[in-house]
Amino acid sequence: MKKTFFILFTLILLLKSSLSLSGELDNYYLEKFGELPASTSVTLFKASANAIADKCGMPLRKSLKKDWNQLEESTRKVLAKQLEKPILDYYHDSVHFRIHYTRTAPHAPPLTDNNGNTLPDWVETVAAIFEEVYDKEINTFGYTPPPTAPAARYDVYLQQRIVLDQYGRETGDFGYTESDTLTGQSATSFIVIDNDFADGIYSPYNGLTGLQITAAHEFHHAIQYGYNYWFDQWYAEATSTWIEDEVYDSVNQLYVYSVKYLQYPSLSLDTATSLSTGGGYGRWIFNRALTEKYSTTEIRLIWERLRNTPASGFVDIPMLPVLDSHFRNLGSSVGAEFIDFAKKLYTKEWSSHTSETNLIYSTPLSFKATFSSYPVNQATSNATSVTLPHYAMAYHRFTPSASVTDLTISINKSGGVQAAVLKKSGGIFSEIPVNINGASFTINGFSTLNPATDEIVLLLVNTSYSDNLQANISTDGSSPPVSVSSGGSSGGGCFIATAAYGSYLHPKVMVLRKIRDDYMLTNAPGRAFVYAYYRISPPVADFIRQNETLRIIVQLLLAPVIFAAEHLLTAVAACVLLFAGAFMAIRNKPIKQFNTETPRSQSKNF
Amino acid sequence: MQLNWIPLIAIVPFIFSCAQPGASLWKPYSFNSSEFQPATQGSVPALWLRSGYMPRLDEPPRHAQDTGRLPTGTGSVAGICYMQASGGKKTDNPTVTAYPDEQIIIKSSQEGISVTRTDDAGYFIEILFPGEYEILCRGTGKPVTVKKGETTLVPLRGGKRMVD
Repeated sequence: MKKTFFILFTLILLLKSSLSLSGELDNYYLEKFGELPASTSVTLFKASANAIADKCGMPLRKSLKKDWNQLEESTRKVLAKQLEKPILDYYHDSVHFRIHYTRTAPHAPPLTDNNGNTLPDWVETVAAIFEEVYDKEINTFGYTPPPTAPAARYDVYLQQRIVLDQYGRETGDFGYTESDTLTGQSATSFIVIDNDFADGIYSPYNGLTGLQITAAHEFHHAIQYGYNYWFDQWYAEATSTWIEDEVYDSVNQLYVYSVKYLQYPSLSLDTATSLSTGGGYGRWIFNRALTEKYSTTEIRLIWERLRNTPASGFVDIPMLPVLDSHFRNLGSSVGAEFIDFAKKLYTKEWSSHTSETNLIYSTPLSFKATFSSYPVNQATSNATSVTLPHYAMAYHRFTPSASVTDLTISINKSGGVQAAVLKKSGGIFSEIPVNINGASFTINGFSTLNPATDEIVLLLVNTSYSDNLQANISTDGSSPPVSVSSGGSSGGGCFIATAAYGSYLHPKVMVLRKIRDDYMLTNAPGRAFVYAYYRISPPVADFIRQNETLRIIVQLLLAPVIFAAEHLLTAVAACVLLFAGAFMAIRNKPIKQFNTETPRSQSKNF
Repeated sequence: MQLNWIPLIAIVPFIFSCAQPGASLWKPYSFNSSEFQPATQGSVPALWLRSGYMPRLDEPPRHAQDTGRLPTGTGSVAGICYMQASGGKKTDNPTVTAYPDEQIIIKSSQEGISVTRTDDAGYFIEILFPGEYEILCRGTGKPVTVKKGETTLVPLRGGKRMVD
């Protein structure tokens, strides 16, 4: 009897303590992860749960994973997001990084331990590579280290990133960097990379080379999250890809991605990240052009400008205006830099990584057309008419012909399109100056050039935020004017307002674009005005842009128009009042005059 | 043989004829990885909206006199908190992952601060008085205007993943 009672008593105690522990655990984890106000917690259970964590000797999330089944369902729902990061059993700390790994499939890295220090050699290699990357990107290039939790190392997780799809093909990624906690505009983050880079999909960048470029690439994303969570993704990828070659010059995987840009130069610089278009990754080459003109530091300064750029409305900050703002401080503009870049793409006059130049051109730069018979006009080729989205370019090649002594290329173009003509003769490039009319280029001695080696290249570059800008070319002066709607309702084109307010994304500029689209382009007189505006405004805008006082004056001049558009009813009421006032004043005027000659009492009757 | 069920033959079509107009007032919306838009044929609706009614996360009832009207003088917000993944050196694979059971903070200068949570699929619904609000998820959010009797759709990107 006593024995039965003792067993029952013990069972009840165990059950009770189990239930009690379960509640404590719920509260403990809820509080630790900030889901429970601290005031509702009890010191007693905190001490108990801490003891549990200490005993386990595992970080909080790992112990959460371990205790998962003991938690209430409601607690599990609340804490589910904490398990978004991979839960791995082991970690190895280097100076700045904590490398998380496991010893079990499928996420285990190679577990060989040749130096017998109980750590897998690959994990040590991962730590060493990340430290190498840290040294280069932080200590050499001067970037600010990515933020972490106080006194914590930056978390890197090793995970099998490749799976087989439904057809048995390998699919996956090298790794990723994900935002964690956002404070102000700066976010902490963590990195997940493949556990060994051994899968065939990584070929020929298996093993160490795959690790090197991934570490360099992802760690820069970590830096980017710290600078400004609201970075524009295309430029983030462009920079992370660019820096791969700055840290590990010999791997050269980045050239795989710039090929698409050379194939499709008429796609915008800020095309969204995509393998098929070369958007994002492929734009790294723009950064190389910038660093060759300025220095490697310039890219960091651009990111520092982004760091100081406030986000508006919780959306990513478009990078082109940030780049423009940066280069205007240097007396240039993103448009000017883009033209220089477009020229360099053609001339191949790269001054850094010169032994790799042939890798850039493994697929040749795409030309809109190559002309070898003349004249060239709309009747002979439909490639004489070009439509470009914002910040995009098109190349036309003119092969020398004995029948054309001097070649004159005439261009009719929208305001935002810039043209340049380059001559390649005897392997030397020179730029042909624009004729005095500003709309044509003449290449004297065209017939004396060698058709086998020499050529003339016309470069058309849309250096505006407007899409669908047109250019028509000919060699007989017959190029037709561009259509009025060119660059119209496509979201840009208010050159003067953009210059005055500093960005085409400025809310006031958007208001003016809406006026243009809704009220001007819907009728013939309005369209005529817009057409005239586009013809004359770009040089005016350039002038305004460079003069701070003028910018303020133009802003003041535009203010009534914008106010009227923004507050239509108020504006109408103000106009009515104004007219009513004016009418009354006019009506009262003769009365006053009459009053000067008439007694007051009579004026009332009058 | 009792034939009491025969009138049902007439009643059933009548009920259906009444139900259809009610059901058609509900407009399905789907989430396209960045914003809500009217659901097209073939897409899976995420939310159903009807003026004057609380938004629904499931298909609305097929009868006209369904319950779920918004309380007098209120409007509502419905949305999703998600993580956006972009990039991919091996495959173009932009994806969206919802944050289930995530805290949503609703701020208003007039109504103060209130808190709700997303459901298992990352969606949330809240009835609010008309006015200007700021709705946040994982530190990011957006300004929202709530109108009487209407539902404002709010996609909130709570996280960002750079793949490769």
